[in-house]
Amino acid sequence: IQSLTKAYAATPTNLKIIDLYVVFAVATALVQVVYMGIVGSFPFNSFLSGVLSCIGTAVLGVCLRIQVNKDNKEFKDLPPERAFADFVLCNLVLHLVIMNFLG
Amino acid sequence: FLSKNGIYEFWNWFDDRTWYPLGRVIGGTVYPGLTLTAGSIWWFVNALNIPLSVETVCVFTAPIFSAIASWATYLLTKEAKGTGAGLMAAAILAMVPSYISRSVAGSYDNEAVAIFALVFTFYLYVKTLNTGSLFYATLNALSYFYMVCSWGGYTFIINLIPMHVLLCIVTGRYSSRLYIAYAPLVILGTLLAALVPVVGFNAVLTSEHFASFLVFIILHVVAFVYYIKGLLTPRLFKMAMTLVITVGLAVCFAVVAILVALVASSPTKGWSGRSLSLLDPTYASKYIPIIASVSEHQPPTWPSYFMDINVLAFLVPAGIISCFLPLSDASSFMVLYLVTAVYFSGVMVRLMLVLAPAACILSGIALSSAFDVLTRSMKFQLSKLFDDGPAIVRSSKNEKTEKSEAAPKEKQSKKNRRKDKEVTESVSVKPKKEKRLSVLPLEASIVSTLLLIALGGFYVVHCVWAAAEAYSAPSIVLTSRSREGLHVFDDFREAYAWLSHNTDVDDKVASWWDYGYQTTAMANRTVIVDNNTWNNTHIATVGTAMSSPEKAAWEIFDSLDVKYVLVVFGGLVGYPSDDINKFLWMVRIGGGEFPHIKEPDYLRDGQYRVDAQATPTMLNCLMYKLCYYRFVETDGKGFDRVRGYEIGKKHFKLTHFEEVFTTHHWMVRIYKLKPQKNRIRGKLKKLKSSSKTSSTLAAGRKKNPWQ
Repeated sequence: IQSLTKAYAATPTNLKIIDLYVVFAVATALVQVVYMGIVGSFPFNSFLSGVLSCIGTAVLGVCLRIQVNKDNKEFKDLPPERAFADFVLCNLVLHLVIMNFLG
Repeated sequence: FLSKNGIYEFWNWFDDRTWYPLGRVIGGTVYPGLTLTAGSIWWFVNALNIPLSVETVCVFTAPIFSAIASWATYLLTKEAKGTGAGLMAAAILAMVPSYISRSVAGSYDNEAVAIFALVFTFYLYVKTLNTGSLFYATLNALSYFYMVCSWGGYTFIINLIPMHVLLCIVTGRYSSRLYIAYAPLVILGTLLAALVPVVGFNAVLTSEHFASFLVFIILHVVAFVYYIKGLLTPRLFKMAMTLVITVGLAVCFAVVAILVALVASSPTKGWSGRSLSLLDPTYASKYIPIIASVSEHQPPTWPSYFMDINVLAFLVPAGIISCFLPLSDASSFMVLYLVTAVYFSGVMVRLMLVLAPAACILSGIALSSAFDVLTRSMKFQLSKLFDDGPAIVRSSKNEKTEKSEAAPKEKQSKKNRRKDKEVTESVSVKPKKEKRLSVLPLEASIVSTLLLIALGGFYVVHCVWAAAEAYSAPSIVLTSRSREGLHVFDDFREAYAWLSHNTDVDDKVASWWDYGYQTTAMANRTVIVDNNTWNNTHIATVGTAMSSPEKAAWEIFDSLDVKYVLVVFGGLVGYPSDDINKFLWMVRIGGGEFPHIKEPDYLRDGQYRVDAQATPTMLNCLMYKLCYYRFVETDGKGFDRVRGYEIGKKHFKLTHFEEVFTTHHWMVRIYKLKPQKNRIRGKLKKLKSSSKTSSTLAAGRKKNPWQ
């Protein structure tokens, strides 16, 4: 396990930031699930949209990370600006849908 | 309605002109995609000041979308194989009869738009898989949303794509592009699907969607594993793996146990009726007679395969082989799509439509590979004729396609064996060495090219014929050829026109559900049940009424406020799909809900008859009476042209219904419910005298209290 942490520390900083963001999103999702377990799932659509938005941002963060990672052979010729632009676009669509679904 | 009131009203529209007295929550039971598309096209066109009426837009929506679907097929095949294959596939789809059947001008059904959405979604998925771009993943999700809006068949997509992802993982083709293609789709797609009112929370609750979530989790696990693998050295990796596996398995078991408990608690295990009947072809006939009764839901016969996709039927296996040749993600997806489509179309004729694009794509691939080989051989041979040097052997394109020529040659041999025996000798010269180029001799390639073109020609001819004969006739007006030329049976429109002119606006009409939409649209009267068939009990009520004796039927119809009953009868002209032939389904559906209707009561020795040997229950039921009332007057003997024998009970009177209209060829018969006479105790003579003055019926009827 220590080797795991050692190897992980070697990843570049911007990737670590993205990882942190992903972890945060997943944690928020877990909090929401626990909350629903306690309070009951009455407005189910709000619950659904909340949880899915968290998971959605997590997933998109992972996608961004995959695309930006310089070690990743398949994305060598994808400029990081393009990857980020895609990420922003997807997030926009995601949040639009979520806000529609929330109420 | 949509164009008049705008979209918000549409969502909340409660249609009370159909399914009386329940009405229908349009917003909650209709797939809005089709209507929204037509509405927006109409609005756009009108905004450009081109005055098109709503009906015109509706009628032409289907052909426009089929043209666009052809373009989408081109894109999809191009992603899978290359531009040549794409063009071929698009041309084939443009003509395939099965698709034409659902997209004729005037056919305003969900599938017209849905097939386009299906192919386009698949195209975007494959494109995302190939390029790994998040932009296309978003487009993919949006296209999936459009598909969900349009058709219930979207569950096909949401199950096919996870299956493909699983297949890729299992065959070791996992890549990060797979993750990008699939994960955003699941999240965004589920959210968007939940937006559509018809689907609502079913998007996460029903078993149809579980596959996508399951594969989502699996994908994450696999992605994580790969990531760790990249970080650690192999030895440490093994240690970590064992740790992870033990923990992971434990968690997995727990989750699966919970899921199974949840799912098993519902009687149908969470699947909807339609999906269940797809998975298990015998389910529908056992439990839900109404699904089984729609003729399009029956399993197709072999001739219908040939009729619908014609030549494609034998090009498809060739396409499968050529897909394996360079096996990429996209081509494996094609093969998977085809295999599942074939299975499902084997269950229901209606799903031949889903098979059609798959078959077209694969045949397109096959044809284009075949043409590739042939033309290359011809070019090579021709150039060899002019220039004897072996230097030409090393031309670059030949080496690239060397592998792919081996298998197309096998296809060639299969086709040519039937046509040209001599060619088989040349086939045996298969490439053994790498450099040696195997090319068909000139005559063989020319002959096969010509034959392939001829094959294509046959296909075109067949498609055009099928489109003209089988799928173009509007089902409302029937035609038949007689010696004087085309004889038109306009009975349906006659009946609906009569209804709209001679009845009150608020009168309710009861008929079998096949005619519901037509009655609402053309006669503009409220109907009891129509083609949407969303309420089985209501339909069963109508079925029971049709199968009961007159008094019971009258009571059922009276409780529904029905004024008029409409039956379709083909016995005079030999129209085979009339209500007597459908009658057994009415019995079955009615019997499914009301157990006092038993099917064996209507059958004599297990056979369905209406002649002298029929059972008394059959001869007394409402359907029999309404169809054959006064039938003997036509030819004296009551010979039913469809069934081919004389009917059983010939002379009878109707006590609770009166005939108000019969069309020219006796095809549609409309009856009115007789009002219940107020009971006056005693004083029968008074009744008789008053009824005599008010009676307007033909003479010779027996007086009875209901008159």
